[in-house]
Amino acid sequence: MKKRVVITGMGVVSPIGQNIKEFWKNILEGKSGIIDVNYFDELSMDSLKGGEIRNYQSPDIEGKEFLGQTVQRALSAAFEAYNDANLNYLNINRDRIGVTMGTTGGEIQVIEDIVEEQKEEPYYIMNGANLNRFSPNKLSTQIAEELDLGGPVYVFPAACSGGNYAISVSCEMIQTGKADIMLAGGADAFSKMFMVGFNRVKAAAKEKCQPFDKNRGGMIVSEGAGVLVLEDLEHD
Amino acid sequence: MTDKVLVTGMSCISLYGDNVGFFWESLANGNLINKKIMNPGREKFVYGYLIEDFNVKDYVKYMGSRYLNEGSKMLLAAIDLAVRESQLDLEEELSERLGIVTGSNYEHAEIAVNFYSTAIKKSPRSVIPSRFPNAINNSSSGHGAIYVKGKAANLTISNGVTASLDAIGIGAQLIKSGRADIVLCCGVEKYAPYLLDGFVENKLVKTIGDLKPFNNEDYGFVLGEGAGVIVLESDKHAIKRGAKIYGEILGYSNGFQSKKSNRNNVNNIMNNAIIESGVKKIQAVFANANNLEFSDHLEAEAIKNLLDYYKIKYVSAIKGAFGECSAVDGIFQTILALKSLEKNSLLKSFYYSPESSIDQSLPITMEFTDCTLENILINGIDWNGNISSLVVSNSCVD
Repeated sequence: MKKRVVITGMGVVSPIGQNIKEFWKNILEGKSGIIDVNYFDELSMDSLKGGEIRNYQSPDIEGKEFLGQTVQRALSAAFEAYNDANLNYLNINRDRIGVTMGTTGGEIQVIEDIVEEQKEEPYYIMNGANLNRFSPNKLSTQIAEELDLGGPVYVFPAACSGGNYAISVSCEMIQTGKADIMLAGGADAFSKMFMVGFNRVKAAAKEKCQPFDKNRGGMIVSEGAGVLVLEDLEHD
Repeated sequence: MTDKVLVTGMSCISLYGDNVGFFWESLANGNLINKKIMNPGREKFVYGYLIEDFNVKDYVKYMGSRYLNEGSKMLLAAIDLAVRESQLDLEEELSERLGIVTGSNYEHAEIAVNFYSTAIKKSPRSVIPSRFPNAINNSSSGHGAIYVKGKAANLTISNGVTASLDAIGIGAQLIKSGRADIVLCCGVEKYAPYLLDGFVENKLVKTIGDLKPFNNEDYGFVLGEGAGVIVLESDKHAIKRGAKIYGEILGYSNGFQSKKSNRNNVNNIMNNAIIESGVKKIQAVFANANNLEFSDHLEAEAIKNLLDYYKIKYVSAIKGAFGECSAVDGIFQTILALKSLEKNSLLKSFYYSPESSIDQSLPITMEFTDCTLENILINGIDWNGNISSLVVSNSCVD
């Protein structure tokens, strides 16, 4: 018999809400998080629309200035999901709780910052602090560190399918007995490089994303994080 | 569902060439290649093991290969070698049953810098559109999947040093769960020059000297690079097509080690992998031992804890020969472990010094050692806390 995997917690950070309650309320009201982003001039880009979070409320943790923007968003969503699932009880086996996260760009903003700060430099130097931020595995290991977890940890930079892979692998980790509980999700902070890239490959819509529309113009680059708590229905 | 996951092919693009046999023989004979300066012209030199004179066109014809990042080129070559070596007929194989899982960390970074730099210095309209997908971390695996027409899975794992051990672990699970018959488990690493100062500042790499495993005084590794593939196949599929079998994946475990915690989770992960394997004895451990204080101490303690219970006779620490290759490290270690099982001999632990060892009681191989081998445990530990262990065996090999 396969173990049954249930969802016991959720957390989200998005352009239309920085927690589940706000996110759900705003989407029911038909609010859009797509805004004008002004990093480039009109002549250089086909689309200047983006889903950038304004007034992001970063998590209240020590040393957050040393973390990248994507990890911070992931932590916000993970904390909400963890609390939503009421996992903070004392006798829980923390080595049986793991984290899997999907992403597209990871901390690509670190590269954007370096390039922009050093336009005239022949070398693009990544110092120690920036290398720490840029390290792709921090997206899951930082969540494990903050929540004191010892179970399986993975980062899947599988672009748009990254979050689904995270949920799928997490589910299998529980079904095969490698974990009792998994935090599974995805995160990406807003990326100017991705705005350029999706514009250049003609995949960015000028005004809005119109799914299944014969006059569709493409996607809109956005940001956010979402985490689910997956749990073995009958674990100790 | 399948009972066994077998290894039916392997390949490498390494410092020691593109032939796994030559890779093994070079290390067995102690013919080590010297390090090169990775960042010439800089105040602080970084020495590393650089792969030179590699040309993807010597291996594959692939449209747009000149736009790929260097890591993707190496990986495509390694995939082509693995497919040939395992005698997979891509025209005959059902692509729906062929998957690819790739460990990759930093190899996309150089194109990302160049791409965004052009957009900022010139204009977003100046960038070459086809460069954009290659600036993202899933590009190598994606090109690999396109090349072999694999549809069962296309997944990239960025777990630092454990990335390609995890690619093997996840690949094995894809086969066990019945979602694929064959999975190409890959690893690729190529460091962009501008990353190197960060490695020095964080005291991860040495600016002089060798990678000395389990050393208690002189910490830091030497960087390495390359690409490699382990072909995993279900026993039914492999036997049906008469594939050559190199070994079996028996157990795998993954977890996290906090730097703040005093509990040694490396011990648990090694133990979990062995329990999953179902074996009672592990003859040898292929240690992570990359000369970092954080991981070498934890690993030495964990091995010592398990030494008697699993009758571990040898610990082989070989990264001194090719450096810390991060995302391809697990593939290289697995290739050399499978060659050890085939040859019934273990490699010397290069640059190991008993006088300055963390623990002199560990049975670390001082010389090339002939011995009877059946099961080997392979460890990976990343400085950001990822831990993975894999058990490989030759029990199914004729």
